[in-house]
Amino acid sequence: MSKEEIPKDYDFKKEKEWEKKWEDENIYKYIGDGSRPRYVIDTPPPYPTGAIHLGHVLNWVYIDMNARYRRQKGYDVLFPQGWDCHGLPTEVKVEETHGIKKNDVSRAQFRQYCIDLTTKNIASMKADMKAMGYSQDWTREFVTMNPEYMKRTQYSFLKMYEDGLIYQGKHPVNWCPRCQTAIAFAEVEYSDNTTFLNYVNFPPAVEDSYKDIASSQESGKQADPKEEGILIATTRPELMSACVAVVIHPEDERYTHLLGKYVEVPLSHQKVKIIADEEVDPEFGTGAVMICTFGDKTDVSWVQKYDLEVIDVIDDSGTLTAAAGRYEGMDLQTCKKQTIEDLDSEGYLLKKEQVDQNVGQCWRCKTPVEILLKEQWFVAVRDLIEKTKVAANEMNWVPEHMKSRMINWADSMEWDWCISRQRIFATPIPGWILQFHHYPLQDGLMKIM
Amino acid sequence: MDSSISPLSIAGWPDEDYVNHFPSDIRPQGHDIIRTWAFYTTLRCIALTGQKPFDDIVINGMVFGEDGNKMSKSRPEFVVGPEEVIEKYGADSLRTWAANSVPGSDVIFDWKDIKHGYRFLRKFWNAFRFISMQIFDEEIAYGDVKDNLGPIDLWILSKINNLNRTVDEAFAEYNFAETITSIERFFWHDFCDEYIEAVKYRLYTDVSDESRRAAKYTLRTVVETSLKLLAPIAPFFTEEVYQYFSDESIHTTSWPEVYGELINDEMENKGETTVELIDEVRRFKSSAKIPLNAELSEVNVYTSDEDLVDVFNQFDEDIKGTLKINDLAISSGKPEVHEKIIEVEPDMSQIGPKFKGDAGKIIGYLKSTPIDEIGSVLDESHELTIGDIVVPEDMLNIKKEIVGASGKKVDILQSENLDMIVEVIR
Repeated sequence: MSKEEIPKDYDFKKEKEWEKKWEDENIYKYIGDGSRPRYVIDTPPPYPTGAIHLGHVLNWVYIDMNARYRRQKGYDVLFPQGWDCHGLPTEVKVEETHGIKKNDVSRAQFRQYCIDLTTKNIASMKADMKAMGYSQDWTREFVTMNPEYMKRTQYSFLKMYEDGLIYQGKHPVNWCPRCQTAIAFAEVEYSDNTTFLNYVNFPPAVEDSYKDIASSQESGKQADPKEEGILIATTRPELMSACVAVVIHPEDERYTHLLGKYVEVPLSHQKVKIIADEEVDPEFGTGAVMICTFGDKTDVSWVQKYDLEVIDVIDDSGTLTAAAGRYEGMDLQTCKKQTIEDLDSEGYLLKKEQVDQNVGQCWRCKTPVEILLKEQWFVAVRDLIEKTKVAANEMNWVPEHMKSRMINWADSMEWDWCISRQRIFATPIPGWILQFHHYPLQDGLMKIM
Repeated sequence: MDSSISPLSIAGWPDEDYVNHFPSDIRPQGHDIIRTWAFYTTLRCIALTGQKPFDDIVINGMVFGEDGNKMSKSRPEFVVGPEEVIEKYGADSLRTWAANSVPGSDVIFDWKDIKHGYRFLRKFWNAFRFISMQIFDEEIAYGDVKDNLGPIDLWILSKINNLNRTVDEAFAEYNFAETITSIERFFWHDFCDEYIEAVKYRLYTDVSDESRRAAKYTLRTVVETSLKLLAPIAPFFTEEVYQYFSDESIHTTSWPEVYGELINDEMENKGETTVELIDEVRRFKSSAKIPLNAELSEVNVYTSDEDLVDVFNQFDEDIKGTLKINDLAISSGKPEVHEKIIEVEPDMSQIGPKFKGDAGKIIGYLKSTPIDEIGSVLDESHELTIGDIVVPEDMLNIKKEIVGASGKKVDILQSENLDMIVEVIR
């Protein structure tokens, strides 16, 4: 090019011309023949929302600078780009755009709408990425909703199933009533707000009215609300109909004389036993806790530890079930309000005080998460945790201190990883349950690859 | 489930040759998804292959708005989209903002940083354009000039080779902020502000051919090397400039070679010292409203540091050429300067009331007597004796100036950083 033509000012609008030229000439193509040392980037596959934001820019400029630097240093760089397609936001968007609910059309039709929207969003995000000058090899694009990728997801499931690492089971799971699906613990995020701590009297059960109080299934209704039994401070009175025990700290002298005795649960009137457990914090509330199935993670462990009954009072959409008696059919908020009113008018409620609380919510729609007992598929993480930690320690973390986030998370893992989702737009994993399983199963699930 | 096999999918798993591309060399991701994506990927790859999924994991921070909060739809006035920045300043300016940070740290978006990046690219362009008239007319190889490189050339060449090492190391360690800031510091300040100014005289005046070719080689080498170091950060800009160097894309070229023999700490120190002197005199020119390209008839540098004498003698030509000094003298010791009275006027508000009718004699004396004679009387006795009248010094308005050994008027500059006093004769 003639040097006399150098324009007076730098014109950044020419970025577009270079973008096109690089693409036409395919200069970022990964060769892969081993003639140069390989450098492979496990690029994040973003969720295709339709536009990149500055958070992406920070992430991808780091990736791209590194890719370009390694190429200059003589590496054959594999810089692919993927898209993590499946998820609720797309389903919600499709419902909005088409003015439908997901069950208004066939599953195939609904899935097609999701694919169309995702395809469009990928195209516009791809254009955004090119405008930023990122040097992906677009022939290496991967899309999690495409058959080639789904095949790998399915195969990975099958392999882990065959290795005994995946099983179906009925466990308490985190459940989003808005999305109506199970989610993994890692998908629960915590948010601070304030609520009321309600001080509720659980009166002593009238033992004489039961033939044998320990085994009796009868409801109570004999207790006098005003008779002092045990005071429970709860932020979740709407779950009282699922109360299966009251628990105190074994050394809490205020209550130890009540151990083994029974109290009657207000409003729903079932009698429950007073038990002791070290996990109770005597400093919080009144030091006595009701165990409901399932108010939180601790309830789950107590129910398992003491083999307590499970009362399902919440259905998939967060509506109270028949087990909730007079509250059947209400949503959780309405039930809470009504319960507090009833406790007050029937003389069980002693006081209310405001407290800060930390609520687990669905990371995608911010709805408070409930714990429900569900038949789902799980990855047995227990045996993998130690190996995962060893692997984390073998990696070079930049910055180093981020490693502890993964190690601490691994250490806090109490539940198996729930991997099934109640979604339409997701990777289907076909499985057949044989009704007459007299034949030994040779191959487990059907082979798919 | 799906995204936790990304490194396997990229490698072509479960085809057998996936092992050629697995584990990945690097996993770049945000810290908000360590518990999810990083954890599940590791767990799944361990379960499926028994191996860790990647060697390096580089974590980036989050972006905050100008109000210091995470950008969110609830505060739309602080949400900026990349397309808005690209439209106003181009993608490369936005990339320089992102590059000026380190993994793991959250980053605030600030338009000031974007504008700064934009200004740097424009500065680079203008410098390139200015020297483009010089660097493309002949091909000059290192071997052609290596024996003729001047001290200032050796200074900047040592610096660019050191910069190469610094930036190389910083990229290898993902220390991105170090890459852009050290390139900027070097190019903007050492190269544009100092080196280019210091070689103009070799390009435009009648110096030797060897010296001019050495300067041209150095200019071209520094610009071309800087471009390649900057290429990962500003791919569009560097490509735009590089097209004048080659038909090849800069993005298919290799990392520039380090010329180890040119790295010379001693030369760098000497260069910095010289730059200090040049800056001192340049600041003086500018504060005295003397055009930077105007000549200075004489500059005398005094120091008690023998090393400085050697340095300035070695860089003698560059100092003279850059500052347009006709005579430059470097001496050890201190300048012989003194104050000299150049004008004496009567202070009539005091002389009038005190001497009344004799005031005229005083005025007459001051007008008729040579200033040197009045000066020496005042220096000695601090009063004037005119007949029987004695006029004390404080009844006179006395103007003085500083003169050097030769008796010419001088300006004295004292350096804050170096042990030197500079005497300038305009």
